[in-house]
Amino acid sequence: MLVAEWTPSQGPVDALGQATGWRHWRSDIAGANGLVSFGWDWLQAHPNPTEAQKAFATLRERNAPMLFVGPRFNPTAARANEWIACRPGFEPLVALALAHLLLNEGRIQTPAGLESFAEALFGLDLSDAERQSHVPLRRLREMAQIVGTRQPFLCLGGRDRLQDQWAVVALNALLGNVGREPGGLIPTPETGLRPAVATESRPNSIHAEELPQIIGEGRDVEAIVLVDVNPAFCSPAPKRWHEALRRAKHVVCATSFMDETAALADVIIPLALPAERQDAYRDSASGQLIAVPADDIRTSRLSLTDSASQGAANEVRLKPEVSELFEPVLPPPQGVLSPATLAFELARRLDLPTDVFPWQTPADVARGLVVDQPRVAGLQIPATAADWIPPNFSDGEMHLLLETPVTLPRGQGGHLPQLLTTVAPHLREWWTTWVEVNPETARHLRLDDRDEVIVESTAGSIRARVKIFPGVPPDAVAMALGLGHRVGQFAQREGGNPAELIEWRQDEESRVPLWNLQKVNIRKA
Amino acid sequence: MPRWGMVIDLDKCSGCQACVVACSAAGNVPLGSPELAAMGRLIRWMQVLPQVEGEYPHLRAQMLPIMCQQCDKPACTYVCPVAATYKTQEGIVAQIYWRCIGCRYCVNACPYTLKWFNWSQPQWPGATTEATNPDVELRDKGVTEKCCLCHHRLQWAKQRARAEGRSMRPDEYVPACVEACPTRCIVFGDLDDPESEASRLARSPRAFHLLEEVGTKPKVTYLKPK
Repeated sequence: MLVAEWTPSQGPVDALGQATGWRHWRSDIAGANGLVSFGWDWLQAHPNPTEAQKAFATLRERNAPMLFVGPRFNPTAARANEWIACRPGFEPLVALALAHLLLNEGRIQTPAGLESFAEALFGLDLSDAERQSHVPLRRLREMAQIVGTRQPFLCLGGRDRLQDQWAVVALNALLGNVGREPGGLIPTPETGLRPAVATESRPNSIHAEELPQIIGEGRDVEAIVLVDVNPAFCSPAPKRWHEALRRAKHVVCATSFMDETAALADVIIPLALPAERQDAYRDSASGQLIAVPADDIRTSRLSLTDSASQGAANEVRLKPEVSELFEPVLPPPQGVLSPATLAFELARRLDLPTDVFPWQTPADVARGLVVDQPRVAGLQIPATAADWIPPNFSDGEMHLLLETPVTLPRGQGGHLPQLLTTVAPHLREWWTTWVEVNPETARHLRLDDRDEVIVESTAGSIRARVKIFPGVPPDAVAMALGLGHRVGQFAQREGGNPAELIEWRQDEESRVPLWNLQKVNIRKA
Repeated sequence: MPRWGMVIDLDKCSGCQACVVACSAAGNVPLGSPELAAMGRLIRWMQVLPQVEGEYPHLRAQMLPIMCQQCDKPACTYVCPVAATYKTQEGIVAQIYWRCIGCRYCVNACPYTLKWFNWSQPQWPGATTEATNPDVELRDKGVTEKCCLCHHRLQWAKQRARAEGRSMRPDEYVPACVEACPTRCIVFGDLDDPESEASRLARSPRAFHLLEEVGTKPKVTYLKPK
């Protein structure tokens, strides 16, 4: 059993896992006295958007400074106190340079156990870092002054290459944020089905995104059960999944919406949305009540009715021998059935061998609540974390910067027009897939707003409308993940799916998909 | 008699647009289409307007949540020939849709351009009609519409209080945008009650109104970023 992960919404899971032994943790943003994000658009990409916005307000109330380091002026950069523009992909180098300055200027002391890392860090040439990252040393010193004078100053980063993750984790470790409460990185209890993380104890863990590859290698797959995910749309090179799902004997898709993955399924099970399941939205970390849906807001009912009565009816191809298996677990009209429970139950009834894959098994799940043991005392930051190597981008003229809109979480959510018209608050761009182009680049390519262009990469090509925006660097374009659906009453609109531009690549060490190393070319359609 | 109004702290707005989505769902705001959007005819009672200034890499931005400013001297009500738009005793600038004759005088008179005209028949395809709010009327082609401060919620709160034989508490009436805002940057309440949070914030040194010079006396107050 695999749990799909939307890595653009995750922090440095793998590096922190290796450093601490934690499998699950959270960033206590609201508890920090300052925050710096290295490329992670946390206001939009945070797995719990409500929690992120609330934390933002808390930081504002306390006048806690928020910094953003990254190439694009995204909503997080727009709402930060300081936006430090840098070269695409070089945010981790800025983190290491900042760590170097903090130590060198005596603003922080090297914590015990991090001596070898600190020693290696002093080998970093700051002028070289300035030249490579395009962040002036003066700005780095200003950052060091802000970061060094307030504690806890939390550092955030995305789940990119393992060495990128190490830069952010190491900076947090130097600042004493690992295990610090409030305001640091805090281990959390493990409940139910959670992502399997490649750690020392689980050396053979694989990422769910590797499944198409495994199937492609000729492994016979009896059935694939997909619950509340749409990999045929929002994965890197999603066509991999189309082929894999075709090769599986049975495909079962439990989903709230009629989406691309459901369109390839043999059986579609309408899945209740959180509001329908729990009658309330709860904080993912604390379990506390966030909001009770108002009587007059029935968006969830709309989507469920839609999937059941509109699109899905045309697509469902029931195979009697399969449907018999699922009938007993279909949710009763007033019943409560979580995606994890459904997946587990379906897998059990299908009699899937649990030892096929060496990662999280139903037996793990059956153990229920497992609390990670914090291992802060043994915090391990290898000296090699300071030896950062620039990423190897794919071929192309311009960097592709991906946006993860808050209204299209996990690349989904395009089922409602209200969501499709709120994708880019800083652009006021609606409905169609757009590509943000710097004014200088647009002049060079003779492009105007709303021009239709073809965006090409080594993985594929899609159509999009030009949006001229000064917030992207001249050598890059930006696109939003979650647009360009091929099915869906409202979601199916003009323009392509930017995920189709992403070449399937994995980090050699952490094996996570690499979303941010893609380059593209654009030309007028 | 309360005088309802709201205060929006621009320092705390993250631009998430939860208010926009909540408003659209609660007010049965027409779904719109890419074609209408391309013509600038997409109706959204509540919007978050971005203000981006500068050139790469020196940009500044501000998000401005904006909806009917609930003016104490509303230009729209003065020009309406059929009293379709009017001000209630509690200061809410409301609209009676079936009275509207579609003259669009109010649309032109509103200095904030926050009245919306249905240039085409709003479409509610498939099951979407089942998801509409039964307390809010669906509008037709040729009718002007606007944010009425979730007036239906006020009616519900009053009815509930009446049924229970008591007075309505101010906190029982909360517009959808205020309820949905995760940062609590929108504060709603009785502006005439000096003890209410909205009234207190409206007296902040950071307080300002949009287009104060036109003299419409909005009851939506903004707080400047710190």
